[in-house]
Amino acid sequence: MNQGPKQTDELLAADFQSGSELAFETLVDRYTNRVYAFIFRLSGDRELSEDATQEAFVKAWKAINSYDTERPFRPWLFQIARNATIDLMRKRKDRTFSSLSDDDDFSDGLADDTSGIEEILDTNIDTETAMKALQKLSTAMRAVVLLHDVEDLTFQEIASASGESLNTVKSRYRRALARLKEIMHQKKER
Amino acid sequence: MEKPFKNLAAIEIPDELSSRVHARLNKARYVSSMRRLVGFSALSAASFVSLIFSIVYLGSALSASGIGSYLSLIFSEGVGVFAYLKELLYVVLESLPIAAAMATISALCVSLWSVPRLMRQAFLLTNP
Repeated sequence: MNQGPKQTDELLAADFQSGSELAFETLVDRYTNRVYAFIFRLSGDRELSEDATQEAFVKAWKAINSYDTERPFRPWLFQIARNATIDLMRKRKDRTFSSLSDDDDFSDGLADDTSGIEEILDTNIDTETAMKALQKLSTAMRAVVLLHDVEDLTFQEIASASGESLNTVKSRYRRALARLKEIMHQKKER
Repeated sequence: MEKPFKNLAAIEIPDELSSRVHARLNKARYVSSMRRLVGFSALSAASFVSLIFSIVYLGSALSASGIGSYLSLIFSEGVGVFAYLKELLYVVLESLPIAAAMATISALCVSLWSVPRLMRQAFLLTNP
């Protein structure tokens, strides 16, 4: 195993591929909390989040031999976490959430109306309300907002990990923000 | 573009989450190792049985082919053999029981491939 003060994720993944189980343990320790937080924000369900976190790491462990270490590790891992969460939500048929697979529930007409969302969040809405608003989005929209804003992934990384086009991801993000703005305006007016 | 959701409140992480994830991974590793152990055991056993049968078949095919009598010429008619070495080699090659030899070599290769893997899986399961 490569030595060093703090190895990159990609090097650890390469170490695992060369036979070091310890390298994967390090990755698990590094990402357990972040993956859980991402899944909880995506699902809003603590029990499901714990199960999906475990499932995500098992899936990552099974798939890591086919992971390309030339590509960034984080988008790859979070894509697995996203898929594991959606699979589990489907299995449990949890209908407290909106559509699990697509964002058809929202019209394209709102596409670029995202101006002012930061002000709404910063000044008038607490983070709990923001979380509640997030839960009103489809899972696909919620995932792209969380991956881009919270996990700090670029649109290119998200698109690359999910196998979607860059434009699709960007467009989904813009529509998600427009929808959130609309939801928060409605709350504010009440 | 700004990231309006970058400052969401921290999520409370459940106690023992990390140990539960590790435990789940260990279980997955165990299941995977067991599956491999069963697979390699079956393959090793099958290849071992095949090897025995193919050796017996090769023995009987060799004695039926009469290759032994050609080879004994090397010791009894050494000078003549050297004079007609090329012809003798053709005759020996023609009389070789190719199918039996291929079956034996294949069974041997599968055994040599599977047995070390079986031992490795057994070692991993007994020394987690």
